[in-house]
Amino acid sequence: MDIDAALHRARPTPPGPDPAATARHRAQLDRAISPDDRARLTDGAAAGEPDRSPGERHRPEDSEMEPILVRPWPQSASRSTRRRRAVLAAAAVIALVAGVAVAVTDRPTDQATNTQIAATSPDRTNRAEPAITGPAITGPATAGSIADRSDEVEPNPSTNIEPSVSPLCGAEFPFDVTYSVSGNPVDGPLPGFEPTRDGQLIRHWTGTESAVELRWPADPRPVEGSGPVSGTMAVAFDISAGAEGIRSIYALSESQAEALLPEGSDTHQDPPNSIPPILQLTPLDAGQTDADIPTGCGQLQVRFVDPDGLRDVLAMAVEEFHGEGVSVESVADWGYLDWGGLSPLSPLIVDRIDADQAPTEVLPCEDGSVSRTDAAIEVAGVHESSRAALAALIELSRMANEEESPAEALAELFPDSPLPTNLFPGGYTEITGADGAITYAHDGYGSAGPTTDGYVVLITVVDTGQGWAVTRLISPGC
Amino acid sequence: MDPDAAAVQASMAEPEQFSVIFERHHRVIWTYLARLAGPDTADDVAGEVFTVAFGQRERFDPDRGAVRSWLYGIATNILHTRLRSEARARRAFARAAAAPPAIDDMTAVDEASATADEARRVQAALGRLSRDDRELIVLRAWEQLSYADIAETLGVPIGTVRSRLSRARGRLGELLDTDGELSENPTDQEVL
Repeated sequence: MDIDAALHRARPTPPGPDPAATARHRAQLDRAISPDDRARLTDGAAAGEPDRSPGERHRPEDSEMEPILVRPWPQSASRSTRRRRAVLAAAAVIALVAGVAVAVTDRPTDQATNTQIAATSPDRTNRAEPAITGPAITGPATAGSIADRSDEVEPNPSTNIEPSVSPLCGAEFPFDVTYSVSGNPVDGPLPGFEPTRDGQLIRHWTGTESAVELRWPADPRPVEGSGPVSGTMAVAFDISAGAEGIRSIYALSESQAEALLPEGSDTHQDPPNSIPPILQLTPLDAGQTDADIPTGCGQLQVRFVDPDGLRDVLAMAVEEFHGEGVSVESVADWGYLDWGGLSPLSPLIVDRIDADQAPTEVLPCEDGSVSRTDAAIEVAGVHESSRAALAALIELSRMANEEESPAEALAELFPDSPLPTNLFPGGYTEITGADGAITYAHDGYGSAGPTTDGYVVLITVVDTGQGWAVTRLISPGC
Repeated sequence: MDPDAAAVQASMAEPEQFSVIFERHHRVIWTYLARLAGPDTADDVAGEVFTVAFGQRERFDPDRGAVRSWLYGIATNILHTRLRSEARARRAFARAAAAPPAIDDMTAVDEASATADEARRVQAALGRLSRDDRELIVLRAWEQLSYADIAETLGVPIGTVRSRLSRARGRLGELLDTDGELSENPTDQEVL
């Protein structure tokens, strides 16, 4: 059989768009073209919401697509995560105190005074906008829904912000923010991510499957190596310095990233026209320069959170978001994420199946080798490139030994630092064995359901009696 | 200048000029979406393709590709967002494959039946490919895009398109072999 001919013969001939749909599409575009209605359109289109006529209900076939529903954003922190955050918070306090001391001694009098007030005087009378975080944010927020979005920035309805403090950097971001997959912005932090500085401007967007939060200035903590690196599928968060000063973050596949960031090059290329940015920052004032940014405000923090709430990824901090051009090094500061993930972020676990549906061995490398990391039995035999890192990761999990669920144990396996080769930050299938052990398997793509080809990573999690811990990781190591 | 690119450029000063792009390409983009994900999804997504394109027209660079490739790329990315997982994309494609293939009116009934049967097998095999592989083959074999256009659409180098297409085609051949439709001519593997 001639495959080309067969493909040609199998070419479907759909009947063509329904005239009503065509008219609706044309009306969508007309509203975009019409300046009077542009804001309304942008709100819907940017969030990926199908345009529907008034009164049109959610249709059955939409169940295969982005569900339009309201659901609470899950509280994310496991015990060890909370512990880690507590340490970070403590570090932040130390950094803040140090920062205040520096500010008091180094800055002009008025700015130092403001900083000091923001950090130490919560009952001052100069109240700022609700978006500016104060020290007494309590209670979890509820995720916004696509269905109830509006054009206006809404206060986080369940976030109690009192008292307010003056903004460290500004009452508004110095740019318009367009986020491609979420609903309307909500003032305040994402649930579970308390502000680390008084006076931070924090705003977040939530979609049904992911969320993003911006805070300015960034949390006072290092950002190097902030994004986990997937060995085979990666996403580069790129800040592009366009002619208009627009900064855009793109989700790129590995080959796309390679094309844009050629090895050895010190400049990046613009993404192709066909790749829309995930997040776009458009300066309010095209003539604005870094000199216009207040001292200490040169870092913008972008946080993406995946839907299961088990992991968060601190994507980057922008050093000079009004700078001309972005070097490869700066691009790398954005970190790398699993492609399956950003738009929207890939869930940590994409499917759950029984053990009898899954292969138990991993696919070998081309030379037939398979690396095996089993902290309880052996460490030897692991591929040289990832032996130490994998062993350390598993040892950390075993030492913690207190995770409340298998998924949390898996999530805790992934550090903020780059992941070893072939370890993926999301897209696992949970396989329940007859003995109660849980194995998380990855087919290299993050696909749901049983695979016929075999997996490239198998991670075993067991209940130790004190909690769940990772005890074994098998990977080809290539 | 290419008329499409000229229309996009003109729309910078006169936004209504972008309507030309809609008129020229809406049906093609809708058909592409329908082939990958079914008419209902195409009805939902096609409009968004053009509003997103309109919103990003300032970024369109005619030196880097044609407007049609640009629109294909936006459509592909929106589909990725809508049908996040492989499983969803696979189910959507399975629904799309229910659309009948083109059969010449003069084709004999038994021949038409055989063609339809073969089409179902090919579409089933396509449905078992990964989403990336399936998109490549659809863009090449059904949308008849050039390698360069596919490269622009997917945002990958043209060499990557060639190698991926070769691999995808090999997998498709294996699936058809498994399905009892053994390719009798090995050189077919290099044609796409």
